[in-house]
Amino acid sequence: MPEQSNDYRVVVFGAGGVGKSSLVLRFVKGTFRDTYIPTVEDTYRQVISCDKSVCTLQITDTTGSHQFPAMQRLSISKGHAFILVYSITSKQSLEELKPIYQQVLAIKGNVEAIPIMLVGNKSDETQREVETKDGEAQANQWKCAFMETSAKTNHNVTELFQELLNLDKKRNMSLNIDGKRSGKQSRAERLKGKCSVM
Amino acid sequence: MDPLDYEIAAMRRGSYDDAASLRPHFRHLAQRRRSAPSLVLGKALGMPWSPIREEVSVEQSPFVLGLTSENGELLLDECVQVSEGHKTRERHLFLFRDVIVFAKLKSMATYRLKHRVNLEDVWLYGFEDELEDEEDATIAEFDLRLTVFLAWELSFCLVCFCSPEVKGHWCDTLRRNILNARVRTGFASSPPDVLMKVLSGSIATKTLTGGGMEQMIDLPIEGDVKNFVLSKQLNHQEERSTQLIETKWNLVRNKMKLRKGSSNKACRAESETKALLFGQQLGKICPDEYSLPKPIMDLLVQLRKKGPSTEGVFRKPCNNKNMKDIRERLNCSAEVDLEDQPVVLIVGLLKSFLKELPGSLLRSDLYSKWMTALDNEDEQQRTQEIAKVVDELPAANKLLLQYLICVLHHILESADINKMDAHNLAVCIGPTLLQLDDTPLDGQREKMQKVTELTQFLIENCEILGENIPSLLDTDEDSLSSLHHDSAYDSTDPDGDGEAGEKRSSTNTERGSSSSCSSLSPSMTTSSWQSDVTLNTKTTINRRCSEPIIFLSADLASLCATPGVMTTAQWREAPLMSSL
Repeated sequence: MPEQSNDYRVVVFGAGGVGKSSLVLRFVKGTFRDTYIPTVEDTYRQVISCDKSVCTLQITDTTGSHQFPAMQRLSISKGHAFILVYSITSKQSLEELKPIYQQVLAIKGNVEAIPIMLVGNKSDETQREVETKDGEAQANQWKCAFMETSAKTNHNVTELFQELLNLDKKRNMSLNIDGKRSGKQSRAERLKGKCSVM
Repeated sequence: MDPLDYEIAAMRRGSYDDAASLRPHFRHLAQRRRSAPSLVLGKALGMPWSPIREEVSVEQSPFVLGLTSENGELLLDECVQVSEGHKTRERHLFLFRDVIVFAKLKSMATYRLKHRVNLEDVWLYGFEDELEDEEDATIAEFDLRLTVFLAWELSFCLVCFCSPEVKGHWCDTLRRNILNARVRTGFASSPPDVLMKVLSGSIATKTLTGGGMEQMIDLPIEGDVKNFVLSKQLNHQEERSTQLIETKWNLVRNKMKLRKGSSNKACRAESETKALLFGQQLGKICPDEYSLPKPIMDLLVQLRKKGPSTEGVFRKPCNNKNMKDIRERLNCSAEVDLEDQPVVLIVGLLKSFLKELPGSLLRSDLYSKWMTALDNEDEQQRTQEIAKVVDELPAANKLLLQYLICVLHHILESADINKMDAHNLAVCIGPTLLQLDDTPLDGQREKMQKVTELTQFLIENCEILGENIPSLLDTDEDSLSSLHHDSAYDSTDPDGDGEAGEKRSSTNTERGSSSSCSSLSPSMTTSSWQSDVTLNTKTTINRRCSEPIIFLSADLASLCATPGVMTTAQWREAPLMSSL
């Protein structure tokens, strides 16, 4: 299989039921389904601007329900950027990200140049198990960015993906195809909610 | 070609083009994994990683084509460093369906065969256990993250890969294929001669058998009790002053020994010589062909009981650390009270068991048959065809499948509570039921989808698997909770085995009533009770130290007939004495 250099691949990881698919679907289709359907693996594509040209943003929504190390390794070695999702209602789901992060670290070697976003989803929920500061602390430790989102209320979803693209310093990418505004300018306008870049 | 390999190959070529540097290939690797000391040391010791020329594709080389015709398709190939004895050389490693081949690269795409080993003879240890302890994952100049240990008949070697992911990929594939090869050849693995030589000879071998290697290999369960006992003895023996042939190996051994000593998992030391539960062939760990291993049965009973009322059962993750802990305890047949464990953890254990089952529960080799059957347009014909494939499953696999589908059926019935409909359940459990490790990863996704469809079909049509599947694990709640229910006990037992039966009467049973059992075929009923008998016989002797599988395979009948039951220790020593 030839390397498709024009693709920018984002891989979404996280435990079962934290809302990976909901986040991706909210971003790609703008919809939210309050259903309960585990994912096998889905890939979505969207055209974005990149270095004064266009490229395809490829988002891979992985499964959280069963782990196949070989499959996971393949996704990581192919991915350019990673979104690690947990649910703020489940401490265990944050725990589950640790081996995944370790795996990314092991495969990519040096994660500092790789955009990684730790995401606490379901921020609309009231039964919180993971405080915002816990998420921030974890992100701090991993030297990655952190955000809390809600796919249900559409809180911080687009921001999440734009911010992730901004983290890539090698390319200048923007979700807007016109590309007139640079990523950094638009970011300031877009960010409404909680977002901190460590 | 596997995409992962492709990328690595591409990477390699990329670095090779970088003509400015002296050792382009090597430098590139060192940069990628700055912390990999083996590479640095390797450089210091002047072990060259000469760049590999791949102008002629490996698959097309006459060498590979020739081997392919004899040994099945080429699955993987990789340029590695192989350390045998005190020499480290660069070798090209080829994995075929049946054999692993070590070759020396002579010139462009021509190779000289160095070793060709049948996979069923290979022992593999990937140092995973050592890696868990982190700290420093290096022994002598070997970076354990890159290294695997391979042993066969008369030799052993350390194979060093260029990156951890390549190693991981190789380990997974190799392990799967070794197990498949053993299934195919019906080869009951006994330790390679080299190991036996070591055992009987002058070298203390704690390390070769220690460190969890058995998790990957089949213990010599049948017939080889002597070896087994011997290795056990050696395990606990203080190290004798030894004249080791190669210092390198000495270092490796000592290091591993130290690690083992410092390990706080007391259980692990025991498990090294115990018969294992996870990762073993189902047929081997079942007491007989009509019953499942007790721990697995316990898991199923718990899930039958609590699964339906748990939201997201089979989907939600469990605490991995706790799961591994209990897995380890079950593996060394320690008693674990599963009653108190969260449902997600029970699911985790069951999934882990299924995932590690060699050849998969639904048998990877039956994949195409399953799919042909599933593709039938006509509903009735599809059902019939699938039922036929079910009958092709080994007895133990079919039995476990029946129980599993029973559990899933009941979860499905309460889908409004647990939110797991047949599709959801199939997505979460399907891929563990039929694994396709020989398929390139990209092709796996599609096939996985088909497996999910199949699983969904089985869950929705559980009657395919036999009559009364839903009532297979029926138990009234009281009997489950009290655990002292033996109403079904006096079911007819034409085969006799009376003595064991009497012992059993004082112990509990967790399986349903006689009525639920008689829903199965009569022979199954009686036999499954027999199995309880056997399990409990062992219990009466010494539960903690008992080694169910060994025990059962070692002439159980004679043991039962012995009036004063031999203690486990005596039993262990007896063969040793005779061997001395």
